[in-house]
This record gives sequence, structure tokens and C-alpha cells, in this order.
Amino acid sequence: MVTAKWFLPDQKFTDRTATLFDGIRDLFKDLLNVKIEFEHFKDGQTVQELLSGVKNGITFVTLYESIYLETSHKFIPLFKIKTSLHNGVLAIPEESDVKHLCDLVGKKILIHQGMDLTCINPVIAYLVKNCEIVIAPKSFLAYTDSDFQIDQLLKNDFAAILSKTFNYHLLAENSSQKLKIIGQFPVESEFIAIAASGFNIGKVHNELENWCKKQNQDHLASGFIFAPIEKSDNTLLIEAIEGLGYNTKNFIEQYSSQIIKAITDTQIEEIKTLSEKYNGLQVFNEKLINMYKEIRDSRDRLYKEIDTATDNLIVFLKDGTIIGISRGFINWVHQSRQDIIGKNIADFISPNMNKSFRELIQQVDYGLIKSFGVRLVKDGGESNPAKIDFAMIELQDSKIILGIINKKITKGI
Amino acid sequence: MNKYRILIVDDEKNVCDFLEEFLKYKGYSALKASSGDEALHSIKEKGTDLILLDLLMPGMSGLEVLENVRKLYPDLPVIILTGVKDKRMVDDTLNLGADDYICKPIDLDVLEKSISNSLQRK
Repeated sequence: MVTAKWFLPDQKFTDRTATLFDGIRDLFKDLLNVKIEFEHFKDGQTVQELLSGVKNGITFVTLYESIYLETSHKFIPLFKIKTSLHNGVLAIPEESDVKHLCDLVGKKILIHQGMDLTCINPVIAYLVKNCEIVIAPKSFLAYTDSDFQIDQLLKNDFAAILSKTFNYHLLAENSSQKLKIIGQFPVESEFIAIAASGFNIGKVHNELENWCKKQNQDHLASGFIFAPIEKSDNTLLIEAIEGLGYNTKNFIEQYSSQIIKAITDTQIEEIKTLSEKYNGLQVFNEKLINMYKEIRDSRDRLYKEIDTATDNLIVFLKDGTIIGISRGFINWVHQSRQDIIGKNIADFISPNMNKSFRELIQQVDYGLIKSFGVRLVKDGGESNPAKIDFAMIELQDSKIILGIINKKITKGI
Repeated sequence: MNKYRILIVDDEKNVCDFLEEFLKYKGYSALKASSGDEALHSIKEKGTDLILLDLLMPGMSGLEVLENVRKLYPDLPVIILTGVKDKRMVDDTLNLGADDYICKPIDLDVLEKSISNSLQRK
């Protein structure tokens, strides 16, 4: 069995990432008969320095480094891992004769919101530097204004549209048939497993390709996507890098740290945002709990206040069902609380109008009236005139009505 | 039983219907108008002893109706019945000659007394 050293950055990995590395180690052992030994390296070493003097060395590099190492130092890209399938896609009209990025120089390009113009991406940087950029007001090509945008493209208002593959694939068939793709390129973090040129891996490529397909189905490590290296087409990236006045090596030298930093900053920002969101959610939940407690407490306090009030108070639902009464009301009707609660208010109160109590309460709820004259009816049929002021009380999930029986009128009762 | 005729002017049918029933129960005769134009037409054609007037109505506002009524019928009592609880509006309507200003929701006893007092002053 061949032994290989796999160099990893000197940092702590999440459980998800550790699972990924375990899977890779098992793969090399079972499939390729290669024993992987992981080893951490320190910052500051180039890949060439890292792998020189190691018989079978493997490590992860960024996409741009891999392009350079493959073309200039014969390193062997094995497979790539990315965090999503959201590649950038540059679409042009089917009839367009544009074949290269340089054919778009000076022309108007529509770029959808959501394409990160600040990232260190040579294709986007090339377009920003050499073309007239218009940012589409809507983020997604596939949404309602897609036909309008494609019409604009076909009428030569724009020479190309830059979107994401995800959105492009959502286009209606009759729309996508009018377009063709000049090229795709990664816009999010993508890492290439690369082996030193001296590593004799024989048929590894085919095996890895099959394995990548299988991993994508099984989702070995959720969030990571494996892709075989053979299908990568970096021509758009290389043209963009060269068009910006760099060769791949000095582009990496100038921007490599920023590429890594951009990814790291993004991740940190995401984590920070998540933390803020989580904290915000906690605060919101606490507020909700406190509000619920306050509502519950205030409802309890309300009933307690009503129960103990010496005024004549009565609380009922919109259908007239009595749910609370004051001591004063109990004293007046000479019935127990248990006998009154649950009865209908019409059993005790008769309006001084040829309208039912319920109809009048509807007008109270409507906001037209707040007070009217009634006759209070005792159990034995005796009745006395009174006036009741009503107040609608909105609770969390219902309305209750508080009736305050005017003492001056009921004084003689 | 008195048979004073009272005109209810409100664009909300529920309000007109309820007040009509209330007034009839209290022994008055009631007429209804759902706009300022309809109210002025009704006064001219049928006559009235008192107006219960809403302020916020589509078309001619209650204030405009009040101005017209004051020009044409200086002694006709007008009680404003409105949901507008604004001191300046109260002052404006009283300066224009309204007899009373009652805010919704209404205390029906207060309304009854106001109608009675306004008709006695007439």
C-alpha cells in the first residue's frame, strides 16, 4: 500500500469538515489502496515548498492556484470541492458571434444583483473594467421580468447577461432556446485537491470521477459538493486573468491572500450575522413570553379587580354570556356568583328600547354608541331603571365587554 | 306625544338606521339622508325641525352642509354627531352655528337630552 501525506492548514476544523476528511481518507484506502496521513502545515509556505521533498504529497489549493500549478508545475488536480452549485454564467443571444470575453469590450452588459461585484473574481473584474455595466433591478433572471430582459438582450440593448447557473436553469425553455452560454465560472469558494507531480496515482482520475458522482448523490458531508476535475473549463477565467494584464502566477501572488481573506471575511460575516439573528430571535422570544405573561397577568388582575369591586360591574362576551361580575352586582341580584356566571346578560338587563340587548351591543362594538338606558331585572321579576356605560376590551384572541352600571341611577335600588 | 321631525345626515347606513329606530322609539319622526346634497334637498322638500349631522361624508362635507343650512334656515337646530374628536373642529362648527357637538360613540341619554334642549330653544 502506498502512503501519501495530505497537508492541511493549521487550524481547527468543524465536525462536518472532519467527516469530509475521514471520507476522503477511506476513499483513498479502499478505492486506490493509498494510505493517507494528514499533516498540518503552517502559513507562509508555498505549495511548491510544501510538497517538495515529499514523495507523495497532496493538499487543497484555490482554483487559481490550481490552474497555475497545473500549467506551470505539472501538479495533478484530483477533484474539487465547492460549497454550492451557483456558478456564474455569461449568456448571449443565440445568433451572437461573441466567442471570447474580448469580443464584449466596450459593450453593455447586464449583471444581476446577487453577483458579488466586490469579490476577487477575474471574469467579473474584467467585465467591470472593460464593459459598460448595468445592474438589473431584479435579482433573478427567471423571475417575472426575465422575458423583458431577454427581449432587451435580443434587441442588442445588451451584449450579454451575467447571471447564475441556478437562475439560468429556471428559465422557460422558449427563453433559454434564444440564448447560448459563452462560458461558466465559479463565483464562490472552490478548492482543488492537488497532488504533487511525482505522485504516481495511475488510474486515480477515473476512480475519483466515479466517486465524486457517488458522493454527490450520497451527500457525504452536507453542504460540500464534489466535482471531477476533468470537466472543468477554465478558459474564461484564464482569458479574464490575462485580459486584466496578469499571468496566472502573478494574479495569484497579488490576490491569493485577498481571495482567501474574502472567503474568510464572508464566512465570519455570515457567522456574525447568524449570531446577531439568533440573539435577535432570543430577544424577540423573550419579549413575546413577557407580553404573554403581561396579558395573562392583566387579564387575571382585571377579573380580580372586577370580582372585588363594590361598583356594579359586569363582564360579558359579545353573545351576552356573563364571564365576570362584581361583588356589588351579586349583592344587588341576591344570587351566588356561580348562579350568575355563564348566564346570559339578557336575563338581568332589558334595554329601554325596542331593540334586543345583542343588537345594541353590536352598535357598541361598531363604535356608534357607548351608553344606553336599561332596566335591571331581579330574580323575582322586580326591575329598576339604570344606565350602563360599556367599554370594549380587546384581549389577545377575543373581545370582552365591560358594563359599568351607573350608580346614581341605581342608587335607589 | 311630540312629533318633531328630525333629519339624520350620515353616509353610513347602519348609523342612519339605528338612529332612526332610536328617534322613533323616543317619539320623534325621522328622516334620513346619506349626503349633504340629499339633506339640503330633503329640508327644502319635506322640512325638518332638527338635523343630526355627520361631518365626514363624501361630496359635500358636514361643515359645508352646516354653512348652507345657516344661510337658508338660520333658526334650524343642528347637532353634530361625529367621530372627529378635535377641539379646533368643535370650535369651528360651534362658531358656524351648530347647537351641539356630540362625539361617537354616543351616550344615548346625552343625545336625547341634547335633542330635547335644542328643540325647546327653537
